[in-house]
Amino acid sequence: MEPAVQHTVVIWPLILFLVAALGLVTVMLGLSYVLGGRHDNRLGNQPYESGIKPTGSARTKFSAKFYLVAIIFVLFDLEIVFIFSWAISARDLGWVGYEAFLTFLFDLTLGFAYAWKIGALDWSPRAPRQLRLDAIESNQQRNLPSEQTS
Amino acid sequence: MPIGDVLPEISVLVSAVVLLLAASFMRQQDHWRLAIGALASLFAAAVLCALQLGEPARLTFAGVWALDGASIWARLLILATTAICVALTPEWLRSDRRHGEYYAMLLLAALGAMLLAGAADLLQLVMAVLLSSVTGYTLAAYHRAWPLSVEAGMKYFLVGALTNTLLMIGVTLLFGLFGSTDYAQIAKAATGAPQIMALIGLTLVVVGVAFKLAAVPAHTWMPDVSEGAPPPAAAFLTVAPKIGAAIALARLVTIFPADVVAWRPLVATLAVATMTIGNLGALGQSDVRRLLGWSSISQSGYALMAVTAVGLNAQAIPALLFFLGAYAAANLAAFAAVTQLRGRTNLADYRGLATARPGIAAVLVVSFLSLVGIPPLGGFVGKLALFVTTIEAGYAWLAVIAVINTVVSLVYYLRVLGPVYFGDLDGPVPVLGGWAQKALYLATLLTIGLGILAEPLWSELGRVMLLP
Amino acid sequence: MNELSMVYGMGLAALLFLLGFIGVVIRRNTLFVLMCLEIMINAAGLAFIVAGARWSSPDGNTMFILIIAVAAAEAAIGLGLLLQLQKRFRTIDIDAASEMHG
Repeated sequence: MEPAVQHTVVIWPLILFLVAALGLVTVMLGLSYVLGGRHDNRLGNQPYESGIKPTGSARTKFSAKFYLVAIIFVLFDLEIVFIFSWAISARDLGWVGYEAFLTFLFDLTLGFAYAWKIGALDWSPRAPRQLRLDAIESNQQRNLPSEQTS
Repeated sequence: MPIGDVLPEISVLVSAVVLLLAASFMRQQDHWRLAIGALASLFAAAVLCALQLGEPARLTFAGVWALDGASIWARLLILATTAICVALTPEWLRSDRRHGEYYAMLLLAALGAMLLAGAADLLQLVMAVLLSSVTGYTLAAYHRAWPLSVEAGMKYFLVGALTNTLLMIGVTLLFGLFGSTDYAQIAKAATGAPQIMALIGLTLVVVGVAFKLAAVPAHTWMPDVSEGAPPPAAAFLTVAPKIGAAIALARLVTIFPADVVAWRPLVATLAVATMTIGNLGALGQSDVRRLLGWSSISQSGYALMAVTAVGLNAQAIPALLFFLGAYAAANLAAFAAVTQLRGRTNLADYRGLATARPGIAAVLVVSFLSLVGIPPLGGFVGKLALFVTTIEAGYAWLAVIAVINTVVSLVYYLRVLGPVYFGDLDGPVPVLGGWAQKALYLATLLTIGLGILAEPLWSELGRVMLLP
Repeated sequence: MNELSMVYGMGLAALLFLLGFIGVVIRRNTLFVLMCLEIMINAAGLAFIVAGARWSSPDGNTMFILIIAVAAAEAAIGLGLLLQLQKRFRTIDIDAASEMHG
């Protein structure tokens, strides 16, 4: 195949995609501009025509706990790539490959068990009742003759 | 697959995983028991490793893993270093909620250093550097509640992530040029005229390994880590990765003929810069842990001298191994002393230590004098071997600079030892005791023993060879 | 792979790498430094794929898979450190959070 022909063959889906994407955006914006109603009065430009005015910044802090869950998700998610590369050649790799795959899965499970056990997967803070029980327990431990060697 | 060839590594890996899981199921008060487990597994790995000494040197696993004298001795050294660092830990981390996981992390870091020592393939090298780095960041920042530790971890991470990326780019360049990541294949492909791209690629890889060695230009993390990290972790991070990295660097550069890629001037320049900058940084320090960090950088510079001479002198690798062993013992003793003193770091706090704790003061003297290279300590034999090797290899100017640097280094070591013996004591000197104390004296005995028993060791090391 | 796309691939990798490097050097916000590091790592991965295609060797792809796994691990540790840095120093500006000098 001629290099030039090859290029056109490779590139036209890209151009189509670009045109489609731009066209979709244009159509959506244009249609809503043409068909949508207009309010030029002052109240209409407020976020809510009725109810309470918004207060505070939209940039609120949220718990760092979610980052932890996200990080763990990314880590485990990426391991799928390795399973993929096994899967596409599973037939050629045979039972040896299968054993290696099982070992890999087992290792992942160990990691998962560890993350679970240390509470990295706890989505929300522990239940209040559990907290109370823990507080009682730690108080009792503190009042006992000290077990800890210090 | 010859699984038997990596049994030491497998045993370290498996025990790290077991320790990690055990730590999450045990009560925090019982975590010190895991130190015993870690010591046992390190001992088992060392035995497995020593068994490989009798076998002929060879490359296994399709050429990515070198089983030669250099890698076996380096791995034994790393295992011994890790064992001493494990022993330093139980008292130090007793109140840490994550005490047990520290041992797992330490074993994984040791595994990374061991992989470095045996790497005979660029991909293997990248894996080893990354494993050893990623665990290293965690170890450096282990005191999560202490700002300096977190800062040390972050600085270590930033330098590390940057140099690791440079390493990957370098590996890509070499792979693109020679079409293989295997050392033996690259050695076959790298012939003929000087290649500027190969030099650039190699330089980037060397920078990546220099990060593990704490050599210029990736040395900046070392003072911060040695000041901010928990002293047992600092003891490990200043020693174990260096042993692996020095061997890895020697193995890497020798695959290139010196007339294709001019690596000898490169390594020699890095050696001079590293030892000089390390010494200059240490001169003005009033913080003992930071001073040890800078001194550790300058020691890396001496180690790089041996790497420069690899291939020109058969004694280069034995000299490098002996120097690394002596350095490991002395540096571990110094950090063990700091640990034993509960991490006191300000130079002013060391005044009059000799009256309150003569034992620890003596340990400091032995370790510092060994780091300088005063006979009959281990450091003397190590440095002597290095200088002789370098001169015989035709790099006399390098040896001269190293001698000048050694004399300069005496100044800052004495700046610590002076107040220890001639200062006035103010206040009590609490110590940690227990395992840390035993580790302290073990490291000191090793420092002295390496000097006194140098001859049989040297003749044993003389047979060591470096593949490929 | 023909010569042209090889140049494109390597050029893109070099561009990404340069962008990341500039970011690492001039940014003081640690979060952005982390992002730039990720860009650099991905540039290395891309370069690996191109180099692997040049030699028709699977090593490039293997290494790329490895690199993204490693980059994830590194990002996880970096973000963990970042959270601690924010907790201890109340800032993620690496210069402001620097107490050790010399």
